[in-house]
Amino acid sequence: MLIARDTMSSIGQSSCRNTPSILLLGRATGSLVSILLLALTACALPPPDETREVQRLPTDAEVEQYNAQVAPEDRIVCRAETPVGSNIPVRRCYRAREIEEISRFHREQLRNVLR
Amino acid sequence: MHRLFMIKVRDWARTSFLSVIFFTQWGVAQPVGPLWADNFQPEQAEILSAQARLAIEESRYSDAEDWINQALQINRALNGFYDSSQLVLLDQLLEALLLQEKWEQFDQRLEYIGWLNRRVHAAEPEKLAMELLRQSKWHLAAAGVIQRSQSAWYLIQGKYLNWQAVSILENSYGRQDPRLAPILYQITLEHYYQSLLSERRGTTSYEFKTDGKAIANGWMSSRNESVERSYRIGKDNLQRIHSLYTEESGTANPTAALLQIYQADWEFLHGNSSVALELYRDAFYRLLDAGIAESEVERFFNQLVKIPAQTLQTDWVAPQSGDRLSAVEFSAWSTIYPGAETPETLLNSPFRLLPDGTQSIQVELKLEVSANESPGRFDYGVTGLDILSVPVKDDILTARIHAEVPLVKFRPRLVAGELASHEPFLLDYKFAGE
Repeated sequence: MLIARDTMSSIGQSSCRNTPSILLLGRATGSLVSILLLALTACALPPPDETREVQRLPTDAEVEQYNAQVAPEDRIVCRAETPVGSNIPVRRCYRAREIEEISRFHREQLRNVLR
Repeated sequence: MHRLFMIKVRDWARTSFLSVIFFTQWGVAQPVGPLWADNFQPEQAEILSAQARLAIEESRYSDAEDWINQALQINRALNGFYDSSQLVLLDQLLEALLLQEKWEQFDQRLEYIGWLNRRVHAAEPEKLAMELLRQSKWHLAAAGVIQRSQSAWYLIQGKYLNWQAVSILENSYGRQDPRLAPILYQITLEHYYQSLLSERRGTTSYEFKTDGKAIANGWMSSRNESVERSYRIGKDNLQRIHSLYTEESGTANPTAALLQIYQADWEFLHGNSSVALELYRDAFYRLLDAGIAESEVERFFNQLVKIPAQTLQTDWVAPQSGDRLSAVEFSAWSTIYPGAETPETLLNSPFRLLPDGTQSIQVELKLEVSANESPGRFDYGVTGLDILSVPVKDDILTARIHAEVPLVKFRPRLVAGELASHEPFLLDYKFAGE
C-alpha cells in the first residue's frame, strides 16, 4: 500500500474538498486504490475554462502553408511514429534542422560504438 | 597667335575626322536594323513584342526570344529597372524559353520575376499575391513539360507560391474570405497531381529539405506516406472552402451542397467509396432541401463529369436537359501524371503550349457500378472500352489506349439518390505529348 500511503500524504496537503473521504479509503483493499486514483485525477483536473484555447498539433495543410513561407531548414515535418513498446502510432512534428541534428547525433553514436 | 591658330586648325581637323567616321559608321549601320537611338521610342518595344508574338505562332522561338530581349532593354531604358510593365514582356520571354526548353534561362527569369515582383509590389499585397499566382502557373506549365524528377520540383515550388499568395491575402481579406477559395482549390488540385506522379524521386526532399533542384538523400518518404499527406491536405482545404461559404449562413443553400460534392469527389478519387457515397447522397438531399427542383437535381447527378473538376463551382447552374449528343473530351496532360487532364490554366495564352501533333482517338466507354469485397464499398469504373477511331492501327497504340483511358475518372451517377451505371458514351481522348 505504499502508493496509497504516498498518495494520501499528498492528498492531505491538497486543496481537494473530498480529502476526508479519500483518507478513509487509504485502508481499503487494492481494488479501491484504482478508485482513489480516479478521484485524485478528478481533483487534479483544472476547472473548465471556455476561454482557454485547446492546444493541438497543426494540420498537414497548416504545416504546408507555414513551410511555404520559411527557409528549408525551418520547415516542419510531421509524421506518424510508433514508439518502442507500443503499437499505437503517434503524430510527431520536427523542424528539418532538428531532424538533421538527430540524424548526425545517431550517426556519431553508431560510429563510436563500432570503433 | 601662331600657336593659337595651330590649335584651332588641329581641333577643326579632329572634329572633321570624327564627324566623317561617325557619318560613315551611321551610313554603314543604318540598313542593318534598329539602332541604339531607337531605344527611346516606346513604340519600338511594342513592335518588337508583336513581332515576337508572330514568331512564336510560327514556331520561330529563337527569333522571338531575341526580340523580346530587345523589347525588355527598351522598356528598362524608358521606365527604369523596377517597373511592373516589364512583367508582361517577361511572361512572353518565359513562353519562348519554355517552348525551347531552355531550362537554365527559364529558371533565371523566373527567379528574376520573383525578385522584381516583391520589389515592385511590396506595398500592394493584392498585386503581389496575383503575381505570385501567375508565377505559380509558370511552374505548373513547366511541370508538364520537363521530364523526370524535375517535374516534382516545379510542381512543389508552384504549390508553395500559391500558399504564399494565400498567406498574403489572408492578411488583407481575413482568414474567412471566400476569395481564398479558388487558390485553396488550386492547391488541392496540385496535391492530386502530386499523388499521381509516376516519377517520385525527390518529392519529399523538395517539399521539406531544399528549394534547390538537387535531391537531398535521406529525405525520402514512401509513396503511401506522401499520397496520404496529399489526401489529408486536400481534405483539409476542401473542408476549409466549405466553411468559407457556409460559416455564416445557417440555412440550407445549394453552395454548401455543391461544395460537399467536391469533398465527395476527393474521397472517391482516393478510394474511400463508402464515405464518398454518403457525401453524394447527403448533397443530393441538401440540394432538394435548398429548394432546387427534383428534376434538376436528378439531371445534375446524371451528367458525365470528369473528376477532379477543374474549377470550383459555388453557384447553382441548372444542368442542360436532353441526351448527350457530343463526345466527352479529355486531353491528357503529361505522361508524368497519368490520368490527369491538362489543367485549365494551361489552355490559355501565354501558358498554352502550341499543338505538338499529339494523337487523338475516339472510344466508346461503359461505366458500371460493381460491388467491392469490402463491406459498404463499391467500384465504379470502365467496364467496356471499344476503340472507334485511331490514326493508325498498331498493337502498341491499342495497349496504350487500354492502359491510359481507364485512368480517366468520372463522378458516380445517382438516380433518386442511389448509385447507377452510365449508358455507353463517346470519349475523345487526346494523348499527352511525349
